[in-house]
Amino acid sequence: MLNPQGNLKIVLAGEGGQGVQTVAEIMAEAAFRSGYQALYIPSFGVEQRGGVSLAFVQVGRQPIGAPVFYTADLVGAFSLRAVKKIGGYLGDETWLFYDAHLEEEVKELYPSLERRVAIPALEVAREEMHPRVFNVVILGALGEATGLLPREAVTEALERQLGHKFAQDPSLREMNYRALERGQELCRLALAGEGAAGGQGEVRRGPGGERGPEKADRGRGGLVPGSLEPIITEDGQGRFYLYPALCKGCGLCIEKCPVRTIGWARQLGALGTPVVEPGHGEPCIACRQCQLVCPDCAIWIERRDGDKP
Amino acid sequence: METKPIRGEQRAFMTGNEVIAWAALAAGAEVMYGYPITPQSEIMHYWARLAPRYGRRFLQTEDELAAGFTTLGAVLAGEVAFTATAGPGNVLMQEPLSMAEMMRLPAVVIIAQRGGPSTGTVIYSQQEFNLTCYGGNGEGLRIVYSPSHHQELFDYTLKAFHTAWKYRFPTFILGDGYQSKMREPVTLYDPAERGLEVAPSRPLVGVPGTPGRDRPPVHLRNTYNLEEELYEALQETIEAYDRAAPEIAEWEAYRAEDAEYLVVAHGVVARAAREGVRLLRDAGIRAGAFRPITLRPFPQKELREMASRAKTVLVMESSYGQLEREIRAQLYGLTVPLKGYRRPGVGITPEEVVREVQKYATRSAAPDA
Amino acid sequence: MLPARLPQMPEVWRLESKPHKFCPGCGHGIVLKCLGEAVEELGLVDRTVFACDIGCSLLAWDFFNLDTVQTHHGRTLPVLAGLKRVRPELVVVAYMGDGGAYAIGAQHLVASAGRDDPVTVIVVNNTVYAMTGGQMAPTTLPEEKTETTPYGRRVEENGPSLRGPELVASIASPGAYVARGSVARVRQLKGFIKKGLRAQVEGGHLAFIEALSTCPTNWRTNARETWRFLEEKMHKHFPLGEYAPAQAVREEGGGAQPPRKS
Repeated sequence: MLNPQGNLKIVLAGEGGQGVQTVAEIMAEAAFRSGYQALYIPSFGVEQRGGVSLAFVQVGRQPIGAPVFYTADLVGAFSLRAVKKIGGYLGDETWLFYDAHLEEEVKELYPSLERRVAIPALEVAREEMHPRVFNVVILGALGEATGLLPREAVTEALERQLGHKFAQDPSLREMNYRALERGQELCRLALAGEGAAGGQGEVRRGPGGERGPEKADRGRGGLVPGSLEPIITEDGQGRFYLYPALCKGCGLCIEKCPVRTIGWARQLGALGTPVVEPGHGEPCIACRQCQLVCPDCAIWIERRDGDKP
Repeated sequence: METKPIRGEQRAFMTGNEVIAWAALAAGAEVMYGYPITPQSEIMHYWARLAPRYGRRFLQTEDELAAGFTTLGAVLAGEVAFTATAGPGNVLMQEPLSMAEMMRLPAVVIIAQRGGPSTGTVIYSQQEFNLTCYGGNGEGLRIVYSPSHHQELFDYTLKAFHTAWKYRFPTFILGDGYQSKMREPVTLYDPAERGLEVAPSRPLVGVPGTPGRDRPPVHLRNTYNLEEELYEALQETIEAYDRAAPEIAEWEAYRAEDAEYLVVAHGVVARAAREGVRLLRDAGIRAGAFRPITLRPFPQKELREMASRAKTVLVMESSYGQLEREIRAQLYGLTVPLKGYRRPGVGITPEEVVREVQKYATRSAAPDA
Repeated sequence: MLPARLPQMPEVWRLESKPHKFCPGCGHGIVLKCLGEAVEELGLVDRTVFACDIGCSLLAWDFFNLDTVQTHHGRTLPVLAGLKRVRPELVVVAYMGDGGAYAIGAQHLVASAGRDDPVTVIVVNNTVYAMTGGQMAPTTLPEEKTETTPYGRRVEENGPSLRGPELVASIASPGAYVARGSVARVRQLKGFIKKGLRAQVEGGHLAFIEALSTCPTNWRTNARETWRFLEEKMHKHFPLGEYAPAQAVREEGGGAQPPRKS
């Protein structure tokens, strides 16, 4: 599909925890192993993680002039902030790939852009596999989109990146391979004009059953936090306020909870990673340990008997 | 407590270091933080003695880094503050001054150049030209005055505080060990009595009102996350500098209008150049002298005008081509031959100026003889 | 639509810069929560100037609704020492990491402690240089693996792990306040910071609080391993408590303890 005059210039953008750098590195490595000129550079700020993460990849037959460029042939943007950030890299000929949950924003921000492709990677990863393989679905889709990268080369590069993790847990390999294939499939479908138009499937309830989030399908399918609205869950003696827009999914609270009621939710947080919720262990005793140790003030506990803490 | 250190015009005969201490007092400097190094230490000695009489402050810090950064702390608090250093101390001072350049902090720094590289000599040189004009990991967005006698040490030290706060760039007095230690006459005065403008200082942090409620908090940073962010911030500073440059740049010429042989020198060497030119003129050689008083920003237009009329430009300096490289860049495109006289770490006399100019004057005169 | 309830963060936390820029699981957020609450509870918001170092602490440059100065690596103390001398009515907080405090800025820490500069110093000790990618710090534990000690810190080569509060206590003036807390003991840490602010405000003394903290990104630990490293390894090597506490606080019955030895 992509047939640029010179080398293919790719920008990937996402939240710090979404793994776009891994995708970029694998793509560049796969290109290199397939005999192309390839260059990858992350845009590295002072933050180790967090913030919008940009990756620049160039692939082609010509020697690569500079590690940076201003107009991309292919842009991938996978969070709201990322979509806003990549505007400068879009030209008339640029293809913009984005996660399907960002459909409205992309339309609103770049109404005249013709080459828009929505990939429901987040949805597919969450529903069919695990939110953490979201970036591998993206890898599959973008690798396919370039039309340059042989699938075996992408798989090989994936092995080189994540092989050590697969060795520890072979089921991960299977899931990642599946994610890769689904990504490739989604790309073909999207380019064929089927699906990918931003439609959201039904968002399932969290594992807490009726103790799960009160409003699981807020905003854009409740996938990614857009406001400082809390998810309020009543559990045991506590009313658990969780602010997805602040929760970075570190899990410190999970380990500090004396009754181990806190666990991972399906809702994604500030960095596109799962947030926490109660309802995974004994009922909450409203001790507020989780609130105390949360480095992001993403948790607030209220006693259900009405006593203000 | 006495607040005016100087009343009326006071004729004095003193060392350059003492002149600087008096000038800083007269300018209304509230604070000096410093670390000892020859040949500037007496600035601190005089200041430490005089300051308490006028309610001013002094702290001897643990090193030049701390001297520079405490000075920046005082500037952030809104006080007129300065420090002084030399040689290896100037090397360390570049770190705080780099922060001052980035954050537009109007600190004043007195440099008494000594021999280098390394510990060099404690005596004299003009080898801190590069470091003072372009030091730090930046673009040289600073103001550098190079005085050549004690009256100028006084005048320009006064002025440095004004320029620093008016334009908000770190400002240097680039002196040297000779000027620091020599005694000569000077007239001390109060700037207000002469009607001189002194730009007011103001606090940058700790300003009135509850931050976040009555006003936005002041958030000052020197780190940017992306190349473009830095570029944008820097572009603003560069534009401010370029706008201010014509108002700040200063120069002096002596019999340069019709000079065939133009001697370019700065600081104490400019005195020798001037005297040498006088001697050469007496001998019938059409010599002239040009000195940049501000090395940053550089008075390029005036130098180009005079240089374009000359047969030869001769750059004389107590360093190995630091000034010459600057002049070469400033004169790029002119066809006038440019010669250098490089004496790193050693003084230059009027006799040397005469001798060097005569070399070229004799050569060019030869075909007619 | 109005949010059901705004996040319960200290008012002095600047909402516009949240979520903050620290990594998931980083202890900085906990330390800065303690500091924010302490500043509010003591009614110092109007006159506090916060300064951060370079290293991960630099990310706090727009963290608070407080006038803030970002300085250079290791140089926060001299900036505030110079500022405080001319504006004694301000309350100044120097916020830095263990590299800035104990390595590149060690001379300033020694000098400020020696002069008893009235500055409240908070040093976040996570045993690594985090912003630069996890190199050895003065505080790296013996045998701890970092990018520059890939086989573990060898004491014969790099010396033992440096203990900051013990160092400062040994040279600080009698009125100074010195303590070591941990992000695993949030209430205690906040108490130390409050005492440290009061030592400056009421006593005019230096206050030095080291906060043992977490760095899951560079430690490469999950949440469980993160707490375990902090509470089992670090707490053992770096005893929590007060060291030569400030006279002013002690007189008011502030729970002063004699220095404890490990």
